[in-house]
Amino acid sequence: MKKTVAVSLFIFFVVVTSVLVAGLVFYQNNYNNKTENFTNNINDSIKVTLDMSEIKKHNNINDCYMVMNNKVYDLTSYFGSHPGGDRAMVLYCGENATQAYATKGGEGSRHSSYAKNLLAQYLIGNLAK
Amino acid sequence: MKKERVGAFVIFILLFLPIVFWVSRIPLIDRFDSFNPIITSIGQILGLVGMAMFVITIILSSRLKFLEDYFGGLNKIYFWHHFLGGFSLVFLLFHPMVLVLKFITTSLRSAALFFIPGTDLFITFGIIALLTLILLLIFTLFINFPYKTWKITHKFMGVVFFFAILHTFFIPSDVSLYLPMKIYMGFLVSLGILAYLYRTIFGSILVKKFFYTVDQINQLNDKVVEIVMSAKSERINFLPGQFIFISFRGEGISRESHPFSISSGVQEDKLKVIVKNLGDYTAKLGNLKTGIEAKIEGPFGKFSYLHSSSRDQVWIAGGVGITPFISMAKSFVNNNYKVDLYYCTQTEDEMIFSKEFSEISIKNSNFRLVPFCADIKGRISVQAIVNFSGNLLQKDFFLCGPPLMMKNIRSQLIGMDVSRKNIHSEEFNF
Repeated sequence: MKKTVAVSLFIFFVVVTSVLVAGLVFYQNNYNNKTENFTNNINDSIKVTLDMSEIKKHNNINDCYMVMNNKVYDLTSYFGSHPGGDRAMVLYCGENATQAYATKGGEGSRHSSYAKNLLAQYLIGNLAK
Repeated sequence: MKKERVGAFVIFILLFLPIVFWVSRIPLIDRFDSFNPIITSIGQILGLVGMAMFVITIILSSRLKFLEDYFGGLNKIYFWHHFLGGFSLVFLLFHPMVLVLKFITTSLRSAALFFIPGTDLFITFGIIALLTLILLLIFTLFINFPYKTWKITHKFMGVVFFFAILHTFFIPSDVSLYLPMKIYMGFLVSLGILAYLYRTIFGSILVKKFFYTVDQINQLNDKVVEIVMSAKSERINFLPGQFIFISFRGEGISRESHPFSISSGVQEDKLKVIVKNLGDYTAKLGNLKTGIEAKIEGPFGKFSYLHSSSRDQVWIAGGVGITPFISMAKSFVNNNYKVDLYYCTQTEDEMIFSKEFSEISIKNSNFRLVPFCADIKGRISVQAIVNFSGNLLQKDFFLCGPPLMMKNIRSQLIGMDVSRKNIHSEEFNF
């Protein structure tokens, strides 16, 4: 048992260290460019205003826009990464998913702050009022 | 099923039930329909079973006497405590390592943020619990702290438990979202909290203690002392071969409790233990002052010749492992019992109780002493036992001594078709 624990601890430290170094070094090296590009993209994108009729055209897994809290997100590239599975997301492509996002599809729980930060990367514009 | 196997069976059920509830919430076909749900599912199972193992580990550490019947003694309970404690860490280490895979597919940065506290409150609680558990188990398994220091560090398992509970019940998962699972894990965690409160927080009030006074300290040789105690009020009622936890309350000795085999006979007024100088704590016991108080908890253990199926028995003692046999021999009643005691030491000088055993064997023709000095006869083997005691298959065997010796004798006995249920051993590995 002691050997099993020792091997598991070794694997854990190697994995965590590798992920942290790779993730944070990658982030540091690309931070400035990425932030600049990302901010510019957001600023450019945020100027876009889309109405529901336009959004409804992007209603499938290969072209998926969603509205959450009056903001429009292009989540097409996020398919395959959602922890709750693609099925939970695809129902809301081309729809206003504010309620579903707030309750995790009716489960009654909220998404984490980590998920919120991730979502911001997919913002493309505002919903027309 | 034998009563002493019920404990292990119940542990298996308690670990299996979270998986049953987990499966009953969402069909497996939906849980494993693509990469991310598969990763999520494996991560959840590791977390659920790891948490259940951790809670059972805490329950087993409470030294509840009634549990001894279902495990075959406190030493067996501690075996499960160590086993589940180690494997709960393994499961809980792989829990985040598997879950992070779904973030790696998005970006390495998001994967890195998953391991950094502060991103999400309830993930942070999980990180605190896991890092504290890693630290405490490294102290337990890989760093040889003095027992007193280690025991203080082990009390911080309560911190691990507290943050693990918050993580388990508040992170969006099957526990927080599915009522049957929430009720089951709530029940298990409640037992864990009660066990922790009973043993660690309110142990000084709730755990029954017997109060004795140290009457004599007898130096038996340069390394072994006998401590003789008398009851202040209520006497402890024990079976020969059982052990107790003693906390001596004198100056110059730390107050944490340590296990000792009882070496007095059941009919004696005084309570006696034999202590060999094996380390920092036992080295100080030779300097105890008479008149100081000893707080005693127990008795514990199923290692007694009265707990066996056969009355034809072989007792094998190595070194200081002789102590439970002293009590058994002093309490020996010639009631169709037939015992051969193999008293094994390295040198003849270490055989300090041979006179007492010889006197007992003179009085009882069914009790035979077989001194086995390694310097003269070599290490004891089962073949040597066959040569003197005859057919092994109808006998029960009692082993107490160095772990390697017990392991060797046990494997030799099993190799000669002796049933495992006829081999009884006492391991002091708390």
